[in-house]
Amino acid sequence: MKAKTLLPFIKFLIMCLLSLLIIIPLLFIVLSSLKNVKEAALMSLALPSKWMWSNFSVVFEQGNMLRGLTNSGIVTVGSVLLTIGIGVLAAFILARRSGRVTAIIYIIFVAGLIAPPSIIPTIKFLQILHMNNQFFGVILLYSALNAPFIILMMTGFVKSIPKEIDESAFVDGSQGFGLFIRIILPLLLPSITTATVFVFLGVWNDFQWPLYLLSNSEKWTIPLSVYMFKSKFGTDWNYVFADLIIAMLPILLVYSIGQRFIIEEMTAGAIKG
Amino acid sequence: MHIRKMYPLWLLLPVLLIYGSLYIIPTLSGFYYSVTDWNIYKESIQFVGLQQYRDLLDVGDLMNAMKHTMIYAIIVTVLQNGLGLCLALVLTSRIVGRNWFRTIFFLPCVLSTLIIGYVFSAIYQPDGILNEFLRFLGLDFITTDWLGNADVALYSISVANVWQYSGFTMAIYIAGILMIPKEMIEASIIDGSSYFKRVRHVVFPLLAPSFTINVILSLIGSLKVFEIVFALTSGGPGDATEVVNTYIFDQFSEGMYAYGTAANVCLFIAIAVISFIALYVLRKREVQL
Repeated sequence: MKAKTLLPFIKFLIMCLLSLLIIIPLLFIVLSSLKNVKEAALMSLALPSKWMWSNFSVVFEQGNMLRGLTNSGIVTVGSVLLTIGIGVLAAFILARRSGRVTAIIYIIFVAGLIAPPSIIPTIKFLQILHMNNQFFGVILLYSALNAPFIILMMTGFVKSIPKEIDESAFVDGSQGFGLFIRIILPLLLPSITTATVFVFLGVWNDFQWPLYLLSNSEKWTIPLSVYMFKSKFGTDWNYVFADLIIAMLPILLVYSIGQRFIIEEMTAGAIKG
Repeated sequence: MHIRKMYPLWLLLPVLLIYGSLYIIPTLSGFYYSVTDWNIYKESIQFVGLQQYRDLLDVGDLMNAMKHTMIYAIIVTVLQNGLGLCLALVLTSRIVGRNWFRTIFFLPCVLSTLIIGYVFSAIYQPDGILNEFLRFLGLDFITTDWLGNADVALYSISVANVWQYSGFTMAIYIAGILMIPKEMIEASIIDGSSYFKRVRHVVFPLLAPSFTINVILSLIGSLKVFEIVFALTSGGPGDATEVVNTYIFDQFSEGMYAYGTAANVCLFIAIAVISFIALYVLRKREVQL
């Protein structure tokens, strides 16, 4: 009997200790970002002797955070819109038509979900088209890379919509693109939010492709600007940490408001995809 | 029927155009470039055949990177699934603050991997908070330069990766556990089975689909690893943590395009073979269970 009342307590205790493993590193960078250079270099969890809120304004300007945030916003929103637009449209056709051609196309997309892209030829190809250092090129690339996931996931959702709905709409004069926009798209909106969360986080956080593609400092996205800042101010940890916090802030804010929604959507996305 | 009118194939054109030109063509042409002498110092590209791969194998850098990538993928997949499953089991049982814990554990995976990398590069410093904590516990003999010590650097990086993504793995297992019909659990309670027997014989078999998803996701994700290694060590010290994607980046920076592309082809083949085998084994297991 005693063990039974003790067990939930022990479980709770272990979970608390484990969540400290998540919280302490984050707390550590928050505290260190408010110290002066010398104190931050000590790498301790002690409170700052003087709270250097000015670190943030220094970093915000030195690190060109505003430009980074704007650029990340443009690339992310553009990629989400384009990927979802073309992906859902394709999923609609692939789910509704049963033929050899569509089956083969579907398999080609499945392959893209697993196989890694060949990086250097991709970069060189974009350079030849003069689309490196351009948001448009990066957005097109992200759409190409995220399309397989969106198509796989959305094809399943389209299939769950009864075909009879299409047929009655067809009798009323809707077909092709019109049928998609008027009838199918509205029904898909809940699952489109799942896809949006996935593409949004993936693109916003991505560092690898901007590193290869965006050498022009005018075009740096947030992760790339963090990288450049770290290479420049590497040992001024207080500034580096302040930079990391500003870079994390938008996602942290969104997460603190909609954590339950985000966890649900991302889990659903992974299971369906 | 009016299938052709209702669902015209030309609606596939936009995605096929973008996907075809920016994924299919570069990836397929990569197979060709990997057997040429393509580099920044030459005007023309010449076919050299498999000599390329022989050179790469002789030097051993690529094999080294491949080996590190495999070790890394195995460690991450095992730890992440073990930890994720344990968290999911505890957080679907009766416990105070369940949703709060879920939110905390999930948090790191929505953050940028590069940023997580930098956070850990501070924690892992010789005088960082990890060593400080170990000294506090009186475990001085364990303290080391976590990223500068070639023997442990790769493991340090995989721990950072597990730290970031265990919560995501957990969330998928939680979804899987919640989908198990209550009657099945209740039936086994009535049968008088112990908690561990219940987990072993009722929960695990029914979790097989979530297990498949999680193993495949963490396996493929860690084989493609780049950002966290780049942020923590850039492949060093020496080449102790060089993985395939950092190797490709190095070759790209040095203008040795064909070498980088050949490494990419090797990664392509490794991921294709491994995920094919893993899927085959896991699916078969799902059916048997």
